[in-house]
Amino acid sequence: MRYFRTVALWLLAAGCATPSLEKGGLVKLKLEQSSLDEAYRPRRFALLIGIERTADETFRPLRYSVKDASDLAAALKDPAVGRFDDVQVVTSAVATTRAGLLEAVAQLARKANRADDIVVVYVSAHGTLARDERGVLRRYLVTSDANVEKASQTALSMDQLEGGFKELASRRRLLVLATCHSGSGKSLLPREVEAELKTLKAGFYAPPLEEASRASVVLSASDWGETAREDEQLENDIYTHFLIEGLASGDRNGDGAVTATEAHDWARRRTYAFTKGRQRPSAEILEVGADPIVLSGAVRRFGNPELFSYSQRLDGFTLTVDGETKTELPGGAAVAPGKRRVELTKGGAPLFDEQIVVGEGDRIELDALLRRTEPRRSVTLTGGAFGFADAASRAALLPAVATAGLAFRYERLFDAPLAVQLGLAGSFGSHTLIENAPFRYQLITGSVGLDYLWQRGWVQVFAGPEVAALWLNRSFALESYVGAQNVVTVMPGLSMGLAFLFLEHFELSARARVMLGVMSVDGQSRALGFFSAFAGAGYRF
Amino acid sequence: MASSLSVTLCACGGLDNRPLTTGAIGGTAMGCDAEGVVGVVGDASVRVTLGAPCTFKLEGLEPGTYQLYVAPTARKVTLVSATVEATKLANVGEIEGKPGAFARVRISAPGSPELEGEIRVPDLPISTTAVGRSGQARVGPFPEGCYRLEVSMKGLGNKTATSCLTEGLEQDLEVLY
Repeated sequence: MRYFRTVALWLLAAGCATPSLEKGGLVKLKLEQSSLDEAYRPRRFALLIGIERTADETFRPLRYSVKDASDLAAALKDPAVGRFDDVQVVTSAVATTRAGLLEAVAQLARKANRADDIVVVYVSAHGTLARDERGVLRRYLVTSDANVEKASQTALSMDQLEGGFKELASRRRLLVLATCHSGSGKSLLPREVEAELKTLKAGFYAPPLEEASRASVVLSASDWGETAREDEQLENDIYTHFLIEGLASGDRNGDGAVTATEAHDWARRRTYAFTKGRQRPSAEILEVGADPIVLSGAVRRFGNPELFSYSQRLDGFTLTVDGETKTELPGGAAVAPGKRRVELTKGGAPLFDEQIVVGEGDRIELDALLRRTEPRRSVTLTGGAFGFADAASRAALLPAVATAGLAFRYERLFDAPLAVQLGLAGSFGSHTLIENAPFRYQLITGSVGLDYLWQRGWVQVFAGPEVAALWLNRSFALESYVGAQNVVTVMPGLSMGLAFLFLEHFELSARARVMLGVMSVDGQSRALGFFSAFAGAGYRF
Repeated sequence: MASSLSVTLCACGGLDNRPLTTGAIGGTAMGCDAEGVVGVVGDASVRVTLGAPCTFKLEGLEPGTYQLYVAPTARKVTLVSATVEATKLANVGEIEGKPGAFARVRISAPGSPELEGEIRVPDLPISTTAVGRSGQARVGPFPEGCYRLEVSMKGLGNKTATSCLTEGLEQDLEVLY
């Protein structure tokens, strides 16, 4: 790419060069490769926020929030560590008001306006929970002008902060939250929220903030409902202390660079150990390709292959490679290239136990690895109903009838949340529609469809377009009329359904569909609607 | 809308409820031959020709009461009444024909040396009868009664005549142009 740019610019300059006496001539420039590299080098921006005091004195001052921001700024600015181009530290009372922080994020968005810019936003402050104007429990960042009893009006909603973060043009952005909302440590709650939370046996029920958009990484110093702590011995927020340490020492795969996930893993393990398990930093990471957020150093060589997972589904599983315990998930580990036996265990039988081949520079998401080995085909025996959508046709042509059938589904088509489904169902029996006009009927439907698939745990929801074909036969043996009537029609339609997965290889599913077809009725061509609904038990393989 | 959809959606065959709203009349015309005919009085289009084993079935009849013209042979005929219900077969049983009446029609057209035409009986399923060059035709068999005959002569036009006939007899009918 660099070579191409150099050649292109040289050709542009050379091709347009004219004798110096003519107007409009171009001056030949000598462009060094290093200059081009510098011009196209991704820029690194950091906005570090530390809020020590608030106008509302019920929030006790934080001792190290300003120092957290300053220490992290120093590490990021350090030419031997972060080499960030633009590091802004915001700690003053004026700059850390709600309006001030929103303006700081907006300024950052104006500066970091390229997709390949690396942007880090760090916040060390009190957090709180409050109900918004619609009564929804939300997380708030306690700004310097916040009032605990009017948090929803005076503090900065985390959703608003996240919204500003998402507005950034950068596709390599990192939000680090060294704050918590549990009512202890770096948090204080309004009285009514505190009273409400005390009545709950379970954990918090508001949705966690750590929802990452594409190519975004949100790191949190504590898990939802836990306390983020400062420590006198460390003179920092605990997580922040180890995160800074990780910038210098967290190069897990030895490629010369410390990425956001490497630094977080470093800090996460040490925070967990330091707090004796009382604080578990969390991360929500969505990566596309190689981890693009390099916080310190530079990638100088292919790193050792890495196996990692930040999926909640694998939370608590132990990663073992070639019989050696590597880490507890969430997190990651670097391994030597080659054929490796990878196991994921949590108590009993391993969830995953296979040999895989890993090469230098590989970054293998364990969740994706697991998905590849999970059943993606299912065959289901179904029972349901089929009928005309309108009552007039059900009364005159054929009432809704019971069907039995077979359905096949192939999931994760092209490794995307897509599924192709094939169905075959049939029915036969006898009915009397008009007085004294009994008949026998047979019908067969065949369908093919494409579903978009949403899966959350053991529940799948799917919906999509499909095309079905119908063959319907009515046979009459009346005194006045003996004959068979056949119709075949093709019906495009939409279907949706859900499946409950259980015991690894089984599922219970249900699907409903509506279709539109054309058929000749009493000698005239008519557009008719159809419906079908069925449920079944299936085997996944 | 339906026609535009049928362009993009394909279908073949169809469902038809019309046979379920009509009935039929059936029976046996005793001693029939290949010239036998059964039809509905008042609607000459509803008719079947007979053959062995002399059974007949008239289908697609709207519910109601019908007079049936049963002519087992070209010489015998009788009228039978039957009531039709939807999806049902009204069986009139075994029908014996009686000697039929015939109309001997003579066309008189002064100044027309050669005649050519035909005679229809609109209310009975009697086949159209051709008029010979001599201007004569024999039409039947009729059950006893009075009937309209429609005479259509080439170059002379149409005329209608009524003839009242007696069972087993032939009666002359002159039509003047």
